[in-house]
Amino acid sequence: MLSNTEFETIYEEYKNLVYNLALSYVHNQEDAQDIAQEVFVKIYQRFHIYNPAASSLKTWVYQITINHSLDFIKARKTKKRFGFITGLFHPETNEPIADSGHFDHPGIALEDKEELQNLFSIIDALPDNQRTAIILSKIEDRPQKEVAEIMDISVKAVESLLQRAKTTISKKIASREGF
Amino acid sequence: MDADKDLQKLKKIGKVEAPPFLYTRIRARIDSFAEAPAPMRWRITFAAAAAIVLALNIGIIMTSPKTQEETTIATVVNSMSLASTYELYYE
Repeated sequence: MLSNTEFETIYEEYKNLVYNLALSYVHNQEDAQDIAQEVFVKIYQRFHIYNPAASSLKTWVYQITINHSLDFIKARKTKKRFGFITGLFHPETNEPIADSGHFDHPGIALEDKEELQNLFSIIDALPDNQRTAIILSKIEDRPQKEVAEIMDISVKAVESLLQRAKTTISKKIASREGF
Repeated sequence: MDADKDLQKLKKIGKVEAPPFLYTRIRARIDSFAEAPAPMRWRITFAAAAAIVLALNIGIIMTSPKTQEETTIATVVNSMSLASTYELYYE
């Protein structure tokens, strides 16, 4: 079990990494905070199974954050789908029960918001592994070798994922622009 | 490729600081999980109660076949003073 001091050291080291990576998936502060909270609770609870010989702590933290972010998005989609059966709004408070997640990324300037929101709508529609490869490579600016390590695949596989993602993005942008 | 040009736009995303209250939230969550387990006295009481219930169940199971054997039609007829013949009236 981690001591309070050890946990605090890990938190201070990785809090921004976890929060910014979660933001890249969900694009809003509230959801990113929820994900970051879950990630650090998991790190605390599962630190005893972390194997330093298998991967660096940074890679392990990346993997937990990616898995939590993808699970969070899946759960939100399920809630949204279920909302059509149960009703989208709370009967008493009239608050939306399954919020689809509004676009409120604190790292995006107002003048770039619309452009990046459009780009993210295409990236978000990619398969999970292509989306993760794009986020790690283009937003987190990680080298392909590190992306491969985090995703537990080969560098060739990362290249292939990025290539397929770029092809899909090009097609979607072209169709939106009416070419 | 057009995608490369578009993906360059992602470089405009700035890194932000995690909110300062996040650690307090996480700590509170961890502390709620890490609360002390039930006191030893409660655990012993629960184990004793479970043992008694188990013993009672075993006792009932062990004695129940004997009870069934005794509960024959004759026992019921005798205990309720019912007529065991086909005669309609006792003379």
